[in-house]
Amino acid sequence: MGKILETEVLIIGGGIIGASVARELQKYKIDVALVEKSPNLCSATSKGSHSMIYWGAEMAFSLVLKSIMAPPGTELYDPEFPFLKLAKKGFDLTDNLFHELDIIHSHPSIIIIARDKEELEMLRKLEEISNDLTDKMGGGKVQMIDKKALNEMEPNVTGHAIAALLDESNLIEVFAPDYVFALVENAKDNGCKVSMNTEVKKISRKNGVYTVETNRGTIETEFIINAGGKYADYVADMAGARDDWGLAFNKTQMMVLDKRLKGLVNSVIMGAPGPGVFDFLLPLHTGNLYVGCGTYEPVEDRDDAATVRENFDYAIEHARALVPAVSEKDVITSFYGTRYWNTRDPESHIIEVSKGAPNFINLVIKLPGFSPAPAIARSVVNLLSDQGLQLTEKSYFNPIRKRIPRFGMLSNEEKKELIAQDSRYGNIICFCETVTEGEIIEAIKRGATTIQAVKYMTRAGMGRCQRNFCGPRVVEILARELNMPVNEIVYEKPASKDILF
Amino acid sequence: MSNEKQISLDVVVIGGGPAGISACLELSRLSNLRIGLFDRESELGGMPRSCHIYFGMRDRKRIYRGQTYARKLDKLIRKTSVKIYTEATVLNISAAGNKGLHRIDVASPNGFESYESRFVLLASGCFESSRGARMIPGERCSGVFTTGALQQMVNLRHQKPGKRALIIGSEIVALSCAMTLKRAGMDIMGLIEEDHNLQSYSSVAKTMSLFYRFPIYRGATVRSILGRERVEGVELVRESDQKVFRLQCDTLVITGRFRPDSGLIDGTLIERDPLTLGPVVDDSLETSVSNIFAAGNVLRGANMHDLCALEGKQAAQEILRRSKGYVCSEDMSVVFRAEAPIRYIVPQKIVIGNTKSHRFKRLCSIYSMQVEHTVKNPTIKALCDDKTIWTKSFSKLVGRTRKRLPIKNFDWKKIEKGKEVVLSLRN
Repeated sequence: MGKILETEVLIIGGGIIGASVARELQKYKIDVALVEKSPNLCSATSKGSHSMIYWGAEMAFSLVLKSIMAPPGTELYDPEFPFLKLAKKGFDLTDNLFHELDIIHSHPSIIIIARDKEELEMLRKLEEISNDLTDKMGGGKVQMIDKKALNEMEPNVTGHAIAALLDESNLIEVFAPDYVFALVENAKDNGCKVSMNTEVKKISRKNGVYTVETNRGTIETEFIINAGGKYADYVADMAGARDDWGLAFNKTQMMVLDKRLKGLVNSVIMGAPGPGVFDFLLPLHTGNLYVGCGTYEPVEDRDDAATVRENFDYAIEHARALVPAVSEKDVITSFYGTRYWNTRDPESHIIEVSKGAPNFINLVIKLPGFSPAPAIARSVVNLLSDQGLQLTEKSYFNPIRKRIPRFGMLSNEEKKELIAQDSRYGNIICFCETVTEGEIIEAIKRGATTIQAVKYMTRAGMGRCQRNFCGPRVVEILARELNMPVNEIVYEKPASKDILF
Repeated sequence: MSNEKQISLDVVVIGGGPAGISACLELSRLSNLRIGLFDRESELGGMPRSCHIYFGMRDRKRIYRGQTYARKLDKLIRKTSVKIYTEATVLNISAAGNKGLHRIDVASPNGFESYESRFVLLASGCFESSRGARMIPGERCSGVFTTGALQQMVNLRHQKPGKRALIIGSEIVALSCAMTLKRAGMDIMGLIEEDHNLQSYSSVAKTMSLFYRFPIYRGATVRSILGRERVEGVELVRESDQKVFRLQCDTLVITGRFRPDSGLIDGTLIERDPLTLGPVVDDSLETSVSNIFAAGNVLRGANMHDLCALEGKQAAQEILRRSKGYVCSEDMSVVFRAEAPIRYIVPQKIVIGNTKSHRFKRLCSIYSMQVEHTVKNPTIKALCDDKTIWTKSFSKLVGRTRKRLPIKNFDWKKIEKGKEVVLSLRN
């Protein structure tokens, strides 16, 4: 296979980190390309993210949780931790970014409840840390509320709650793939080359130029950005760029509940942290409830995402302990989310040029990854500049991207107008989520080649029937628009036909 | 929105399957009401279009294949004055003004229209629970379908999803699924049922398993779906001895466990039964919103299509009665409540006044219940405030199989206004 591309910067990996970097680099006059081994963007760790972008109470929660599980004497937190600074900076950049990229999101409050004295102690600790974080680094304060105030705000929360901690200003909720797809779409609009189904097999370097061999041909590049996520170690090893770190993993089973529960709770409801316990119910902007009640499970095989029956019972039991009205009848789907971190220093990210390979930047991002993503992208710009890459700002960078119209969210007048313009917006394909043929065709135009990409970009098949009605129709539309036989359309992987750049 | 034009109708029927069409036929036969029938598919007929089990025994007194039955209904309805809208998806139901009229917004490739109507009949049917809703664990691979999706692929779109299939579930639809798989030229590797009894006509199922040569695994639960990309098989646990074994396949069809397709009542005042997930109705099939009725499988998941057709017809008669000025006295109703393992009772309410009317015997035919799993020697009791108003013993109640509830035998004199009737099972 011959050379398919020459570029200055090659980003390996199309998750939130790769996508954020790809978009950020478009602000400069350099050639950038992104390769993703799967047919979909956001196909591994980012896909399983609960995609809360947070600061304040939730950050305090994650620090406390870690300290509970860490050996005694471990330092709880230090506001000087670089990962905290990045998270805060990223959080502050996110709202504007979502505005530019037209990404649907919401700003729910967080309510952490205490059901006994011990949990109340925990809440006080969270309050102290959260307010210390926001005092030192900015952000809205949290406050304790009593049972009465809690009931007024969230009447469906368990009657066993005696008090709660309220954080009204430090959370952004978004659908993870929406975010990643939007970043890459905007990067593409600004000239970034994106190649899907492109798996890096071998990396070599000669005369200051990297030759990256992929299943599709070779790519020559001066700089490599390793945003391989949970496969970052494999990628680094190909270039001898792994230095002294490895990867460790754990995973948690999650659930999504039916949107008939819309309005049951309007804030994120969390239980107080306990050893290995982090229970939360997150109301999504789509009306569904996201159940994050699971345990940290060790991972032997990083690709193992098989759900387990016992976890369903656990999740339902824990969810009901927060909001008794939910039941197993409400479950519409479930999946695993994987976390990873580096073994050199589990408490920090790796954002650095490899010692073993010049011009090779490793990005190994621990949880949370979505919160700091925009800030990490900026750090990469600085790293590249330090390495001598000439970065001149583009005056013609276009930060704006328009989302695919969401027919179901439009007003009657807008619906009428859209159908009048294009009758395919009057052909409803997914009944549960009211997704039209027009939206699906637009998603395919923007790069969707699989059922899952259509699902992520339009919500077709994400409703309560889970593709019972729309599954075969979506396949037919994909086949027609991509001019492929029906039996070659895949759900997620592997792809049989590749769309190159 | 006040300047929007709304098209005026007397009755809006949502769903062009057996229940919806039968209601329209009855309404147009007996009245001059302006009726609109809305279906989101390009052709009428509903679920029977894609099935080939036989239909029409109880409503048309003849036996048809699914597609023929659907075509027959289509032909009959097109002879009437009912306005038919296909490829027309109803987006929502809301109140129109303060005169008790209802408004429905409809999208179709022809445009977006709003209609105003005094009566609405919800006949939007049901769908099978997905793998996700049934919480079947394992890998999230492709090749896992419901019968609905399978039949759409094979019978309507002429696609062949795989070579070797396993069927999960044993309700009647599983047999339909087996026929579809054979029609697509696929091998059936087996049928898995977690209950110890098959949840359909077990003699038919057994004959079919002999004829198509596939084994039936009863009392076995799927512990995990195997296969990273495409499904490669399942891991089963036999309940009797907890033995784990594996079966291979490249297609997995998850059948049955129907649930109402009642998305239209989300965010409306129409009350939803947490047991059926469909709208709550009284014995005249009226929902909690005045003049909005529901019939067919939107009430509780799958019944045979001929029963749905009869229900549609009954709803039509109720609508006619209302259109002639009959007023229902709401305060006379009694609510039914089912206790596990009884899955539901439909209708969920009864108007006591009706129990004295001459129509009562006919009304009774629609009352039904289902148990979750097969129960041997059960006794079912109906209690109202600790007073037994009905009790009956059975030798066996098969799981997820409809059982008629003979409410005309209930001792209605013992019932007090405003109380609920609790149906419970002992064995």
